[in-house]
Amino acid sequence: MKLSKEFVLRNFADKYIAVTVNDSADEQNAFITLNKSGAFVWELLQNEISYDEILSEIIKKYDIDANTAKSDLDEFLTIVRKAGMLHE
Amino acid sequence: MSSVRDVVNTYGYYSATVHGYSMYPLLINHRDSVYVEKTGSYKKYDVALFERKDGQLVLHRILKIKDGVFYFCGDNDFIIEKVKKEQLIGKMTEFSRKGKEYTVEHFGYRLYSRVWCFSLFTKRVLRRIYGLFHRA
Repeated sequence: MKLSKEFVLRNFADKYIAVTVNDSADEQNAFITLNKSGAFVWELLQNEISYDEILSEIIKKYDIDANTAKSDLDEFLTIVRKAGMLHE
Repeated sequence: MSSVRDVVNTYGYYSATVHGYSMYPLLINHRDSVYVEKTGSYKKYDVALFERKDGQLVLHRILKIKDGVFYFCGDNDFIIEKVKKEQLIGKMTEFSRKGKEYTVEHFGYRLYSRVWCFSLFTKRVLRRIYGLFHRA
């Protein structure tokens, strides 16, 4: 999976905000606000990466158990999927 | 969440990529984005988001405030639009230009906004000079 290039991450007011750019900006003006770990996953998804690879990166970075990492990742993926930001 | 006004009232902020060329050369269509915050105080040179009577959202700069009326103009425009306070949604506190983020306190931005918008005449002259070096 990989994130669409039609969205970019901006760092406004100590927040990570993903906004639409290019021609997609005409169709929808969606933006989502991410926390720091969301921004970390966002960066990973700039290049083609598998679910399991993301999971292992999160566990490595944040030193958390697999179940917590999994539920956090699933929550993140649900949001970006719903916003049409994910290519699978 | 239906409207941008609802988003700003609920979360205190809104962010989006700009549409159109009225804030050129500061903000470029589909490339640059803005961060707009809910506020109770607006002043001259603020860039603010407001809603026209037909519901259209506009992000322009305040050039004058007099008797409770806000006089707006896009950086690339020469026509002044009168806006009432209840039409205002929020003001731009940060923006990104060519992928880099700035706050409105940034020195270069402050200098730009004051010089570029000093008067419609200076804007016309600077616009022409800028146009010689950059093709929109």
